[in-house]
Amino acid sequence: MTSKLKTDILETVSGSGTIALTNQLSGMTSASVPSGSVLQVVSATSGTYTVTTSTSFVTTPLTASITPTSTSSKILVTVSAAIYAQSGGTYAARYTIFRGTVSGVNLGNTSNDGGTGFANIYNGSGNSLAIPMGISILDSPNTTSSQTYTVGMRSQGNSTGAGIMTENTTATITLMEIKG
Amino acid sequence: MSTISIKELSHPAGEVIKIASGKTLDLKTQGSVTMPTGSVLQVIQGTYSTTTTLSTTTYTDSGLSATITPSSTSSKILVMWTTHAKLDDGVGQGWGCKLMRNTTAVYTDGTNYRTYNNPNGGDTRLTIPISHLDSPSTTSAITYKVQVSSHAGTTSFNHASSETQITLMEIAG
Repeated sequence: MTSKLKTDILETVSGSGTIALTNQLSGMTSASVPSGSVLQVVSATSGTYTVTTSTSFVTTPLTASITPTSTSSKILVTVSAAIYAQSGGTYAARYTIFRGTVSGVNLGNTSNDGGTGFANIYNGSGNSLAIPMGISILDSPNTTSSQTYTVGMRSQGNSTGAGIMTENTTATITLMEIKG
Repeated sequence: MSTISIKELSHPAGEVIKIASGKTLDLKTQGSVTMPTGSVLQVIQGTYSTTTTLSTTTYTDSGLSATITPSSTSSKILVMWTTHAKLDDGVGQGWGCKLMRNTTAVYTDGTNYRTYNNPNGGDTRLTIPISHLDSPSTTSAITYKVQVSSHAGTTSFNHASSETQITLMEIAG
């Protein structure tokens, strides 16, 4: 048996307190939820070791796309990956997140240890160095069009490589739309 | 427009309560809603990009902080932060991190080092992610602060004005 109730506002009998829900409420896809709520989560993984000696940011396989439901939404971008700087002299490897491709908007800080990005590694001894990397950044794309977020990386120079997904370790990029 | 005063919504066995196709249930613009346990209620982020040089095992404020006001005493706060450390060359260089909830330490690296360096040939610089799930049991504003220390020798936080971030997520309890 199904019955339909049509009303504009639900209110407690006393005018205060809460309305309890004893069973499941479905069809919430169009609900207008409070600010700060997570509206959707998108995640992508990659486990392919990738290395570059380019001193300009290059695209890594770590990328994900999301379509915000509102222009006021924020996107929390989190990245977890193993990163690697190859041996050979004094060098550094740098990592950042682009909104779009590497020719898009670099969300990283412009003075990140001498270069743009969110994360970097440097080993003055000249030996290789592998570490875990984590990035969390809250972006405001101000659009309802599909947005792609890409992890970019570059070498500092000296023909030494910057790597990611070290030893083919699985890396993850997660996008969470936060209600504005 | 009509208002219905009720105490509880229910439905017949085998059914669920649905929002009619194409209609919107507004949980935001007036009144409030109690979200299920585990829901994210708010997200706050702070950034900091000033270098702090350390040469002591005493934890000092790094400058990286963010403030959040929980909506319930049962809420948990997921704190995620990154730190960029530079360890100078030398034997036993180390670097530690502590998370403060106002004036209370809620996370502390052991023996003043999360990272350790012994290269004898140059310094080491690296970006480190840390996270901690806190239960503050308050609805007052809380400031989470990242403190840092040196295990030995000289280290620096946010070397060369590197930007680091701290993200606070309130999780419904």
